[in-house]
This record gives sequence, structure tokens and C-alpha cells, in this order.
Amino acid sequence: MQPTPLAAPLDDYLREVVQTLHAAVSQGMRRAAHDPQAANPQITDCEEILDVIMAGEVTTWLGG
Amino acid sequence: MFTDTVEEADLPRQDPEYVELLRRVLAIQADCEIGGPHLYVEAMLPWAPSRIDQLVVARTATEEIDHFRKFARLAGDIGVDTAYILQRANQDRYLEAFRGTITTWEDFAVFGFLIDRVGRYQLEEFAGCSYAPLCRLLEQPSRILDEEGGHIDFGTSRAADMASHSPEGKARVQQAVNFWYVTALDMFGRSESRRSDRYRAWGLKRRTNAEARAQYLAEVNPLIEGMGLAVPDPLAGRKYL
Repeated sequence: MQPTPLAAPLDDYLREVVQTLHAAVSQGMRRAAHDPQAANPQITDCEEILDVIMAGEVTTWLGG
Repeated sequence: MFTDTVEEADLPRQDPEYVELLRRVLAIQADCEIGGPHLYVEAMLPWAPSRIDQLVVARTATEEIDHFRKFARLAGDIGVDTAYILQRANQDRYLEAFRGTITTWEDFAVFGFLIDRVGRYQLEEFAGCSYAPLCRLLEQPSRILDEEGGHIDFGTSRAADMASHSPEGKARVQQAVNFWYVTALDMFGRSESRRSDRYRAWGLKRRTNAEARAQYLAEVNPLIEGMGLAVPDPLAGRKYL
């Protein structure tokens, strides 16, 4: 049974995205605990990354 | 009842029905995992009530994307392309629950309380299932189940909190519960489902749709009552009985 051509590269790409998002959320949570406004840059980062993922343009992500 | 353990390398020797059902269930699960973020990210990430809540929305979406990744990889490894699911319009999602948009904080909370809880039931079906790579994903300790549990707990506590603060808040949570409760019950599928029987025959699921739904009702009804809300009629507005 042959894997699809995108199986591995999509997995790799999304794994990196998830790691980046987790880092932004964790940093944002730490900052917001002291000063909610201080988390604004991390929230903006999350919005920008999630906008890309929600658009779902897989071939663009993977350089196709 | 099929009791073998199937690894990916064994699939070419399996009954075609087994392979077809496995491919189907992986594609549906991938669709459901990414369907959540598509419901709430656009409106809830910018408009959640606090910075912490915004970050909770981002974290929830992140975890669901990671769940999608894991199911998409399992599917992709056996030749099922799920990449197109990332671009699918909400109205084309496999389950009704993911076909709209979430634009209120009450809906976001109740979605976690009721719909993510159904998601946990679906995921639990795969624990101990006959396809080993899928089974391993849900073996305890399972990060997917732990994260899903976090979404459920957050939704439950926030729904309860909003329902307790004011009559207006309670009314808004009740309205959300009325909508998502019916949707949740339909997610289990028809009680008399031949396909569900075949999933169980091949060891890909454990409970009948009716059994899972009954267990869900026994779990959520006391929680709804505990929030001081009315349990909706479990038959009103249902599409799949």
C-alpha cells in the first residue's frame, strides 16, 4: 500500500507549525499572567500562523 | 468478531472491506479534527473575552491541528489523501456539527462541553482497536485524549461559570446547549446502522452507536442539570435516530 506523496512532507510541515504555535501560546500565557497586554505580540503571531493554516493552501506550504 | 492485530504492512492481505472501512474512518476523523478550528478561529481568536481566553482559543486550535496531523499521517501512509480536507469549506464537512461557524463565547464553551465530549467518545473507540497504528495513537497515556479532555474541561467550566453569573448569561448558555445537544446526539449516527455493525465486526470500533449515545446522555444530562439548565428533549430536532 503506497503512501501518498504529501503524507511525510505535510506531517513535517504541520509538526513545525504546531511547535511554533505551542511556543507562542506558552510565552503568551506566561506574559499575560502578569500583564494581559504583554501577550499581544504572541496573540498576533498565533493569528497570523492560524490564518495561514485555515487557508489550507497545502501546495504553497510545501513549495509545490 | 475479528480479533487480529493488523499492522500497516499486513493491509494488502486484509479483506477489502476492512481496508475500506479503515480508510473511511481515518478520513472522517481527520475531517473532524480540523473542522473545529475552522468553526471558531476566525471569530473567537480576535474576540474572546480576555487575552488569556484568546490564547486558550489558539492553544485549542493548535492541539486540534496536531490531532489532524496525526490522523492525516496514518491515512496518508495507507494511500488516503487528506490534504484537501484542510481547504474544505465548512458546509462540506463530513459531520453536521462542523458545518457552521461559532461567533459567541457561549457557543465556544458549549462546543467544548458537548461536542468535544462526543469527540472523546469517538476517539475512545480506537483504543484497543484492531489496527495497531491507530490503537497506538490512543493508548494510555494518550496525548490526544489528554488534550481533548482539556478542551472538554475548559468548555464545561466556562459554560457553568457563565450560566451562574446572571439570568441573561444563563439564558445564553441554555440557548447554546439547546443547539449543540441535538447536534451532539446526532453525531453518534443512527442506532440501527449496518456500517457501525461492520466497524465492530472488524474490531475498528467497540460500542454500537446506541450504546455510545446512551453513555453520553448518562454523562452529560447530570452536568447540564448541575449548571441549573434544562436538559433538552433528546429526540426533538434529531436527524439520525
